[in-house]
Amino acid sequence: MIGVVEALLLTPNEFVTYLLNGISRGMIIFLVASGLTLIFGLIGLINFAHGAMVALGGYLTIVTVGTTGSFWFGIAAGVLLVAVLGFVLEKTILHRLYDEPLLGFLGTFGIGLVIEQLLSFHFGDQSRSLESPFPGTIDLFGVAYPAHRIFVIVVGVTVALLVGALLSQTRFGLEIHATANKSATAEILGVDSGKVYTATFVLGSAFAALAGGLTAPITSMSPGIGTSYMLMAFLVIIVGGMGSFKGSFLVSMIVGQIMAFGWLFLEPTYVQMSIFVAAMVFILYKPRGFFGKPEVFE
Amino acid sequence: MSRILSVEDLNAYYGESQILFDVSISVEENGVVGIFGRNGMGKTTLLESIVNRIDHKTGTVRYRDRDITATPTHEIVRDKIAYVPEDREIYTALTVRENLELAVPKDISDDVKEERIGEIFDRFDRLGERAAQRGGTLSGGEQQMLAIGRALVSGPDLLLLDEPTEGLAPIIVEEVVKVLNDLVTQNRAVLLVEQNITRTLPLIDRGYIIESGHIVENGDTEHLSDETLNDKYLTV
Repeated sequence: MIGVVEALLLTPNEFVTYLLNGISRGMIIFLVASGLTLIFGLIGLINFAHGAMVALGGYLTIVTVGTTGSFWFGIAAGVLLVAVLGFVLEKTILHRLYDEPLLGFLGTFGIGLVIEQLLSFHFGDQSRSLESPFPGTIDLFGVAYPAHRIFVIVVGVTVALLVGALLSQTRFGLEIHATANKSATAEILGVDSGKVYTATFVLGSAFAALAGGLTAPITSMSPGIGTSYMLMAFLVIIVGGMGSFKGSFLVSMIVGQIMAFGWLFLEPTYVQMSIFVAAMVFILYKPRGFFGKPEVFE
Repeated sequence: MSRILSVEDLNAYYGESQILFDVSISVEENGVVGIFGRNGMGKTTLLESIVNRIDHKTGTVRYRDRDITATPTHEIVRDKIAYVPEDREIYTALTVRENLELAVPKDISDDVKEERIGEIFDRFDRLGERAAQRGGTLSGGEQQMLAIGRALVSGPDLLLLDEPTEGLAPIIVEEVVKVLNDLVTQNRAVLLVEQNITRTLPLIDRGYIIESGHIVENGDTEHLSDETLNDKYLTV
């Protein structure tokens, strides 16, 4: 933390560094929030196991990289295995809880606890880290910036563009919209809403694992790491507007920048507190968030 | 003529309340059948039971030679039964075109899809003009056209229509009736639920009257045009 005057006198290079820090931090929040946005915003299930899935994805990536030596294989294995877990959980337990919000909360909370405890039991509570496939720095706008963080930014933007295209340009995107807004109507149009729910949950789980795998070289992995991301991710999807991907992206970027530049003035804890207070005030005035809108059937 | 739809001894319930009592009806291939009755008599429940939107029911629903009583709704629709619900259920945040695209079967090629959507826009030119508009911005009559168009674009062999003129202005009703007139002359079976028997009789081959969940009358148009039936079962 530095003084206000010093903060206002940042050199251009320092400013770019803080800006990039904000973007990469925001991108990690977005990657975690993107899976939640799909599941929470579209299915309506508050998936409290999402944070544990982030951690599981991170650990699976670390273990696979340790065995095969390939970061890419590690990421792929983490994403695939967590997606399979998401599929099994959705088909066996979660689909029964969609109409029961309290049971959905308890069920996913319980699943999250089990995953966290299994990780803790198997790997211990000591954090683990992973070497990045991009260990050096890249010169960006005259600033030497860690290459892995730039990689995270590129992946985040790619995910945002791909999911945006999936939701707005494809038949599956239409089916997700239809099912999320009224599954009974989607059914009379020939949409198998059960399959859409399953596919959405699997996709959301895969994003959780991707976030875990990508952040493993930046932040040390511990079984409870997902929980710390979850609070911010929930804030992002609520302020962005339920189920709005562009809302999640925008708010993730804003939060990332507030965190990066806020730390110039305040202790990190106070920055986080300020973000939550600002979000609460915002929600009072705009309860649907930036881009949330109701679908009305007439 | 062989039957495309047979409903046998259907009982349907909402919670503890029984709505339909041993209802049996049938529709022939390419036949047009009407279901008449006052509000709250079970007409909508009958259609919803046919497409399996009602879980709690007994009896049998057969489509051609297949028992579809417990078949999931989306599979019934994919088997070429289309349902236009009474409240239209348009996706108001989707465009007119997206509403139609959603109803086109997945296994159809892009060319055929475009052809089918083009046919709907030819039939309902106002929908064509508003293809890029959101469903929620359409008038009631246009939304009804879209609901019917959405059903037709799936290429159904059997069309279930629930009170398509309900809640529309008289001038729009005339327009919808013209569309229905056109529909019933094509090679397609239609099960049409209506309250207004006078307006509907010219469209159908035969029909049923439903009263408090029981089928109380059935017959051809001549039988159903009897004023006493109208007074007894259909006049409010």
